[in-house]
Amino acid sequence: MPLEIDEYASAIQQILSDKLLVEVDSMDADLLQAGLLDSLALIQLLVHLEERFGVKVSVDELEIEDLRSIHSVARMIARQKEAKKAASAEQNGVPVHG
Amino acid sequence: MNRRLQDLLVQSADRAPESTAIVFNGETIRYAELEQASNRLARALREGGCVRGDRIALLVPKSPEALIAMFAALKADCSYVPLDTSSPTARLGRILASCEPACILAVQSTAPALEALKAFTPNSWTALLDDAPEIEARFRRSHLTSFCAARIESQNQGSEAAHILFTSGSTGAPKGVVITHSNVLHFIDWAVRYFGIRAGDKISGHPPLHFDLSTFDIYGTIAAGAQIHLLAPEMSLLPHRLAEFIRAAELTQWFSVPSILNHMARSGVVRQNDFPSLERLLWCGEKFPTPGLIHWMQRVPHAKFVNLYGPTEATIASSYYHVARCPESETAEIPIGGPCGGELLLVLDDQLRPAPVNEIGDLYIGGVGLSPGYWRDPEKTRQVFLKNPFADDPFSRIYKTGDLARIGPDGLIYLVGRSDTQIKSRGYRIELGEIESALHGIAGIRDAAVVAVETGGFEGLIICCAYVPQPGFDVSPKKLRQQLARTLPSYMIPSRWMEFDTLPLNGNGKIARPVLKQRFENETLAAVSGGKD
Repeated sequence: MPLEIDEYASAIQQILSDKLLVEVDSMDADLLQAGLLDSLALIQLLVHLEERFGVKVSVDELEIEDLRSIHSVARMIARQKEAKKAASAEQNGVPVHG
Repeated sequence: MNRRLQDLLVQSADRAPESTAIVFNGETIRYAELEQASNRLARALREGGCVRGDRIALLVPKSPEALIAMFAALKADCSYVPLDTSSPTARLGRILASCEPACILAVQSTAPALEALKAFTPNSWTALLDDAPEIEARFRRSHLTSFCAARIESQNQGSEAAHILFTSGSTGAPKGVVITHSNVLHFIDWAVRYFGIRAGDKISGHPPLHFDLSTFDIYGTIAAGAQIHLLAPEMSLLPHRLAEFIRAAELTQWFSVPSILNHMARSGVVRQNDFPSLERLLWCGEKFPTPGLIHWMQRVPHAKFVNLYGPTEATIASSYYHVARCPESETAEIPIGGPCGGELLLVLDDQLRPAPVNEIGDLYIGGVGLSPGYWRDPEKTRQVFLKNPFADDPFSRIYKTGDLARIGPDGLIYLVGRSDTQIKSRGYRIELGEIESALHGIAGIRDAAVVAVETGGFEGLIICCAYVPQPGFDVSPKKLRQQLARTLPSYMIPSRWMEFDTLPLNGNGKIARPVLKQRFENETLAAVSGGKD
């Protein structure tokens, strides 16, 4: 699991750099205190995260701490992916009787 | 009578020492605590060497400590300069070099910047409002308990500076607006009366402390013996959290820039008959788009909606308009209304004659809120603070806001636009010239211009940059963005970029900004209608 999070984190760093043109040096740098993430950038980030990871994250599911650093965004993505997997397993597991 | 802002606290603490004054992140500060902590800190500042008229820089994020420090500075006969802690060091350094504070107050989270900042103001000493280790300081929080908490006598007068607020400057350097105790007290007296602010009120503290709107939240609350509920700045990212905050704190007054209210409206977080405690919803700083206002008024019909208007130079707000009924049309124009108590608003032509009804003219403000002028900049002060041509008093002045306005047949004032390149983006007042000046300082840029474009989205105006690279230089938007982030706060950094071989010029040989705007608008439209970004 930690390996996965590091992978997500690098991808998020790349999105910030390529799409939002924001360079973040450290995975634990405080995105909020530095004002790197504003409401406009947040919406863009969510769109790119959906494209890259296939999980739709809506703003109203988010907590401030999910956005604190690249690492916290990566953990949030991992959580969303887990939830999605669980949901689809449940759906597939429902026995279908004629 | 000589009243100072700190007297508001002394009176309220006398009247109800056990009442709650500040609420932040689950922490509450009572009036007696605020009074005593600020007395202690004021004595520490004096013992540290601060004397009447000195400036004290606040490198402190929004917190109860920041408010304690404001009152302490005033009680020590000094003025304070609230700094934007998210601003880059280079910009903060220019502000410090200009205001030369006797002392910089910091906390652990902001202390790392101190080393670099001290180079700009070598004579300033530092003190800490917490016990951050390994930071050199003349005193820190643990020392404060040794200072007396009893009332402290101050010598300062209402006509002296209470704070200096730095705003974007068109030539590249931020400019400091000096605000006196009396400037703020006049507005607070009017506002407490007009809005009926009372001890039971729970008031939002949403804007950053370097915005002048925050001075209404703070001193309005303290004057009435009410509670201020401070919001962490990052909360604005998540509209549903803002709505939950208003509900949970049972706020009675909300005051912010409209972009936040619009963001909440567009996110659909305001329910029908939401916020039952909310009595007043106030906004200032930019135009509130009417569809957003209608959304709010329909869902929160029990609240009073008031549009406040006024630049920092005239202190918090100079005019008000109570939107008594929900506008019938989404295109209805909301006026900025008429003057608050003691204020004067004039719409004048080029010859400083009153413009006829419905004719567009320059908006000037006079009266009790007018700042004495810009900090150590008599020339800039002379340019915009003019002698009042309608007054016999030779000292009466009017301030040229740079806003264009008209007076409607209803006698109310309507804003039309700007006569210069100042813009408001998400509530921030930005001189596009400051961004251009920063761009011209970057190696590899031959020419650059910045325009603001309306997107129709909730973000309002966005900042767009057209640039011409110098041959042989590898210039990309990413690199430019990085370079600008060293000198400009994030809200001033352009979000759209376009490279040109040469910038389009008009017949006078000046950069054709309308052409640039059109290019960016077309690009935005293409992106919205499914084109590529």
